[in-house]
Amino acid sequence: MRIRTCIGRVARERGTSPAEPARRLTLYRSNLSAMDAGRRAISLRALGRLAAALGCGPGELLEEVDGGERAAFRRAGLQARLAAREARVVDGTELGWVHAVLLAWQRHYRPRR
Amino acid sequence: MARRLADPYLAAIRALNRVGVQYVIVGMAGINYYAQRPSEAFATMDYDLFVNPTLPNVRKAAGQLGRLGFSRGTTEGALQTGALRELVRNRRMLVATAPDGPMVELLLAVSGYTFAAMARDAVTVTIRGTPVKVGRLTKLLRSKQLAGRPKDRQLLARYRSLLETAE
Repeated sequence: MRIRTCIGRVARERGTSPAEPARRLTLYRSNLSAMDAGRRAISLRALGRLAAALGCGPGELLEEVDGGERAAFRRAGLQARLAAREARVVDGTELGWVHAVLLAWQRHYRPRR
Repeated sequence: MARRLADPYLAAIRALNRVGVQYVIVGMAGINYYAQRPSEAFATMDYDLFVNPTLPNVRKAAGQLGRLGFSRGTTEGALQTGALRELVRNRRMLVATAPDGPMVELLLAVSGYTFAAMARDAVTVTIRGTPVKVGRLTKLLRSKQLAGRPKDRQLLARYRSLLETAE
């Protein structure tokens, strides 16, 4: 498993830029970029200081590289069926019937108030 | 008395679309959009929206659902005034409950994917003409796998069985 930081993304989500925590902690902006790119290691101390500067937990500054891109099912046959199923749903597909089913469950399982 | 919404999920999506809230449907609700027939859909009482976890976006989403008559809370009770900032900071879930019971869960984090990664290739389906952004099936299943809770493992086993038996 490869791990990298996501300092830039977290900073932007908080309405600031990666340059701001770098300035506050007297770190080079280019070092933060290298950490986000997985080219440079980060110390636990620096991770903690950056998390405090951005007002988040240290774990939020870490992400798995392409971790989510592995398939849920390993068997090639299942992967192919999954891909085919996914390909059937394209932009603009009308799926009102899914809500009809969802609402029917709601009526069935949830007691009326 | 609060009005009953014919389709509270669609009403919520329309309200969010109206003000440009960034969201993607995830979880079992998202997976169900890939069912090919009603018998393949999974029963769920959850409707999970992964919202871009920025304070302005979450504030906009919570505001719209409030105006629609949804009561808003966290897993620990009613949403307190000024609590949104803390909720966003800690990536906690916001639960919005429609007047007659159905719940929409606003997730600020999901297993394995950032909002940007989930939204990047999300598909936009339509429900009675309303555009609805849904995460890719492979990502929704992978996220379930990474979450690894007993109910997620159970769903994956059932989905595997569905893929094996489906034509």
